[in-house]
Amino acid sequence: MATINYGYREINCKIVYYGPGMSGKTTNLETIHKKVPPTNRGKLTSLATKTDRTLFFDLLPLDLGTIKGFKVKFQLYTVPGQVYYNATRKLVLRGADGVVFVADSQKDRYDDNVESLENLRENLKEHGMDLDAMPFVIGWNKRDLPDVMSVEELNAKMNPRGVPNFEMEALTGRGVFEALRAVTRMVLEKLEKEGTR
Amino acid sequence: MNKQGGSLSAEQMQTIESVLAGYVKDAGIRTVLLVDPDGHLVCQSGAMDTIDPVSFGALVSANFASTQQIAGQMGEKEFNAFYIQGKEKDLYVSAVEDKAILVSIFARGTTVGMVKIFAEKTVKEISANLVPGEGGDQKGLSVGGGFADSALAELDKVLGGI
Repeated sequence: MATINYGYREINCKIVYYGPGMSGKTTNLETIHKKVPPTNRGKLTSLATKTDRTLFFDLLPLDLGTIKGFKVKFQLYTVPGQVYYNATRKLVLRGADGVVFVADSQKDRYDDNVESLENLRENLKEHGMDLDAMPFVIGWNKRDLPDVMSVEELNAKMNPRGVPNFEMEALTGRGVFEALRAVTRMVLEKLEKEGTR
Repeated sequence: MNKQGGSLSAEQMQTIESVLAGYVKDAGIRTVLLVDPDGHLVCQSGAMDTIDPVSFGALVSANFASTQQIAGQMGEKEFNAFYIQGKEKDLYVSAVEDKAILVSIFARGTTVGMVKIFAEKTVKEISANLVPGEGGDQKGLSVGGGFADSALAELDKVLGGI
């Protein structure tokens, strides 16, 4: 959960990018890293395999500067999407303030999306967290590819609560900022309303 | 601050800073970081050299969390600490109960046993200062209204190019 350091006048929040393998979670962070001025971000740290698949996580620290006397910092994490890395996914989720679910819009990846979403819900539950009660947005990634499901169908099947969702092309940046902005707003509003408990 | 997140008062931070500075001096270590279990840097002391404390803290926190899983699979309740030996620098990581992680970096040649003794003392002193609910935990931020809107305006500036 978010920490407020009154000594340093600093607020730290954690956002986790979740989704099935190869859905574009790391690409989201790479795009953000490319676009954000170096003064507002730290190093993009990737714990990846030799074939560039995420092994543990990617981490991108974002610094929003000083707002109303508080330095506001976000840490953006990805999880490894492959099914057998569940133990590490669970570790990365610990203390998450918000989640961006990066779904692969291609028809043949639908089952993987559903499985990953269910896995997210289960892993949060193990940390005593409820997906329905936390800041959560969805990015329908790879909209530029052929043979994708319609956003209407994806929403009908995977987003019954109607959480904020965005068409996304992580490589070009389309929808990346919108998803980050939406989840950030939800995290900050929750923090403003509820504090750190 | 605790395992469920939280806050630290200015007084707590002053005490922790003082404890860490004393630890660096007494144990003869190079660097110390205090990181919360979620990977957020809480406090640092000593020379940072080539270290980026934010990402370093997150990496060590993740590493420590994974060792706890390993402990569980070995039938151990938990590992309270681990030591990694390098060619020029060593790393000693110890748990401050379930509230934080103390990360100590020191040059080869520093007596590891001494580091462990001073780390243990430091952990006790810090633990006493990280009592949940006594660090200004409160409902809502005392930063005035419109905090989220102001922060989002800054985010828009930062991400304006996307």
